Amino acid sequence: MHTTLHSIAALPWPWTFLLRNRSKGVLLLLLVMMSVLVITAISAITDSVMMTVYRSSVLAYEYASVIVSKGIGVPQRIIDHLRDAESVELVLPFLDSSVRVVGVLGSESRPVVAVPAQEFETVLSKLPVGLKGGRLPRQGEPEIAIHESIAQAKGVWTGDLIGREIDSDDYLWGAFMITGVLEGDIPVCLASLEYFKKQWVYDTGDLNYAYLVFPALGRFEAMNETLANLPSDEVTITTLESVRPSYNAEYSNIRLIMWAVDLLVVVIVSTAMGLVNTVHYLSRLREFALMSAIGLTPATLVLRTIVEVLSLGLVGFGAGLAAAKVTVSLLSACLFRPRGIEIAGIGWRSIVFAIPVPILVSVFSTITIWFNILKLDVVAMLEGRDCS
Amino acid sequence: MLITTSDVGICFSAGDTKTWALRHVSLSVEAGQVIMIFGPSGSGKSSLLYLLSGMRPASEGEVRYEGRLLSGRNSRQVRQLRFTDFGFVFQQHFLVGYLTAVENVCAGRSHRYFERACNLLKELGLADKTNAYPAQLSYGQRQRVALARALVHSPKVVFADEPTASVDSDMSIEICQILSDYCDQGGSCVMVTHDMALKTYADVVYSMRDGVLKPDTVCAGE
Repeated sequence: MHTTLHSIAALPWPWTFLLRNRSKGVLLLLLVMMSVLVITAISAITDSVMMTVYRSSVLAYEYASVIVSKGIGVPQRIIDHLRDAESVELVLPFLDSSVRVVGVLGSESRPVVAVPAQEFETVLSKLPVGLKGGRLPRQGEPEIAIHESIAQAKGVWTGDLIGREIDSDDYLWGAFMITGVLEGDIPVCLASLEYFKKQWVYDTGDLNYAYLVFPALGRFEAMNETLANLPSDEVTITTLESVRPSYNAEYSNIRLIMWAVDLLVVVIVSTAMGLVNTVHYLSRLREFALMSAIGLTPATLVLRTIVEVLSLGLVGFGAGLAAAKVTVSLLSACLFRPRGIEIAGIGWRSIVFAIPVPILVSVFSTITIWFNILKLDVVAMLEGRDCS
Repeated sequence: MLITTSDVGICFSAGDTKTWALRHVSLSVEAGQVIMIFGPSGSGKSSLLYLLSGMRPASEGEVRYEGRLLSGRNSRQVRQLRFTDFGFVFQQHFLVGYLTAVENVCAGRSHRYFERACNLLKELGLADKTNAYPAQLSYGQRQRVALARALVHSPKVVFADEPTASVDSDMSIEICQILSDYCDQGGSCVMVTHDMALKTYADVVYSMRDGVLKPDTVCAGE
């Protein structure tokens, strides 16, 4: 073993061939680099797109749950019951609507939440959202504060109008003046409940059609248990537990596609690398035969090959990650940010997807060369006869 | 005795047909000797060198190195012998194209041979070619690099397979002189050639024809 390890350090260095045959070395390096780039970039972008979907459709339910009347309004006794519950801190009437933005997955909706104007600050303090610029809407006025990602995606800013009168794709009726821009993790718009109620089709009287329910500190699960016990023939409950499964189902399909793409790319690249290495090996057959004739063992030759291929794989992996980072940054700036999608960059999950590339490429290449070395007839090779 | 063979043979089989490349070969190699084997192409000279160096197994008979059967050693031990005790000059130079001359001399060995490799190349008249690639060397220069590679680890036995086949007569003499000098310092050399003019450098001469080795009594010991 010691001799074998010692021989690995012998001349030539395992990566001398690649350094001195730059065209071959660069070709092999590019092959690994491109596959890591493709896998990592796709993974990072998919993750970010899915995270955007999560933020717009699920994240809010990590902070509040919703009850909606199955009739004309939520009965007052239910609201009183909730306000008395220890697990509930705040119950706020609200109505909702939505605006449309063009995302990567096509037209996507972003929620508009209308709460009593005097509760805007309370709502903002309970959600990971803050006022970035401008002001909050006034009570009873057709005004709206929109999240910056929605503003970017729709190309509007403070002072502009949004709503169905401006964009027929918006569900939000009429025209609302943008008074402020929000920032934070949840892409949401805020409007005055008083104005919404004036426009509402149904007259609910003193009752409200829907409520946001905020938990007492650390009582989120207890609050949802309380909600679960409400009469199901009178209200519909929407909680994190009820929205997450559908998101996960959609997300798991995308992860499955990602794994399939990953596997396909790895198989294609590994096969290509194996074939390239077979040709590469055949062109170096005499070198291997010579080393064998000098006295190097097959184990040494294979280990030297592993070091050579692994070096290539690791450099290609690093270069691929760097290229992916640059590519994702460029795509983010040119394509995603204008659509209101923040690309998070290269995370661990993306790197994990790309790790099989250098490993399988090394394994596949080594097996190819090992197989050839085992059947190598040194004398036949040195005499220039058929060496198989 | 460094190497002794008794009645060794190499047989190649193709279906039911058997062809003997070597048959009933007996010889011995002593320290300090230059042994030359003459014979026409295809007479089995190279096969004998491969047999003596452990690259080909004997189909019959036995080969002993320092009194111990080569066939009694496992392949790893035989490879170790080739790495430490044997040096080989092949009929073609077999230099690695992407390595410099000095790197070719050290091929498969550690950096500590670097200085000796440079000195050997200097002795062989290649002092200014140590960093040249094989493609930048003439055929004769490449053959000298191959000779340096066979000597760099100071082997006990050097096997030389027609090392002068493609060089001019001056270079042939130079190569033989180097091998002869090496043997004067305690090494041994088994060289096959068909250049009869080189006989003067031999301590023992054999002739070979159709796989059969015979002592050349006329020239031996001249």
